[in-house]
Amino acid sequence: MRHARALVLASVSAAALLIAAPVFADALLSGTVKSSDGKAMGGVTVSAKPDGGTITTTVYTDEAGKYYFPALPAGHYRVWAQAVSYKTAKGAADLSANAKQDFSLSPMADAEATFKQLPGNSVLDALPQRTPEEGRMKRMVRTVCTGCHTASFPLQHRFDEAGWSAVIELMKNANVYGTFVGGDRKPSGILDYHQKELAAYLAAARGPG
Amino acid sequence: MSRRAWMVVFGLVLWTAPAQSANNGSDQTQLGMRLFNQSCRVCHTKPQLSSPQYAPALSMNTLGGKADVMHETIANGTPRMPGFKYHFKPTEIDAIVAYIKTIPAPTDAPRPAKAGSSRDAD
Repeated sequence: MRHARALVLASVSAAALLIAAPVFADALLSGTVKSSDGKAMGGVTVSAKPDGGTITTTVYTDEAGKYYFPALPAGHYRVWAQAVSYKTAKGAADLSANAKQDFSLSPMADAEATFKQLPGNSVLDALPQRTPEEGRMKRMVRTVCTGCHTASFPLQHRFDEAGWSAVIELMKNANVYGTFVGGDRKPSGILDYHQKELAAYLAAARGPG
Repeated sequence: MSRRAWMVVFGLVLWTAPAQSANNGSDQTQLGMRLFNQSCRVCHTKPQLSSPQYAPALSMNTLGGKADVMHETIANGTPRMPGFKYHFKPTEIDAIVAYIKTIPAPTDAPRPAKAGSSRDAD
């Protein structure tokens, strides 16, 4: 009889613990992205990152400008929306329960800032090719540079001709890992031969002007 | 208000004032670190642990620790380094300098790659 009473007591205690335990249900985050003139924006990336976390989750808006995150663990999140040629809109959401976070995106006024948002293929496309010589230099950038890194990495910068020549001087002596190997091997022949011409082309395209 | 309450208020003021100042400095160095990572570390840190480094490691002692010389060098470059004055605003260069000034001087600084000049911060 004593054993039975102890068993019942233990069962009740265990049940009470289970009931009292906090429930960490995943919460849903959703919202709408519109431009500053009120039109729905589809294809906008919306990202969420928890405070103190390292993982960013990103989704796209649908044609109606609505986005829906998959269930995310509870917590406080930084949330932001990005689209090319628009300023990044930032917000925050507390996902202790389902939450809504709407965004309004304003057009970017600074053309240079817009350029820096572009993906590498668009940056490459933006290089001038008004003459056969410019077309040749543009092909050289695509052939020689983008084999190791996207075109948007070097072309985010603006340098004068001497500056681009210094960059090419390093690049013609770097291996595919980005390690300087000058002195251990011959420099890249194609870059060495075209260094001056390429530096002038890049300074005209991405220089002081 | 009692004397003890006034002492607590006075203590809070003393405690928060330097914290506010440090926070402002932190904002600038955070920006500087971000810009450094984007544009400087490709040459001023090793691409791989076992590889040589192209340009000198930077620290608070670089160029004699003089902020104005660092600013001028970043803006106008050297024969081996492009000048960033067309890319960074002066305030952004100041932020990079502020960040470099937070980097402790290495005890055993890695030597720059063998080709090139022996200038302090090319």
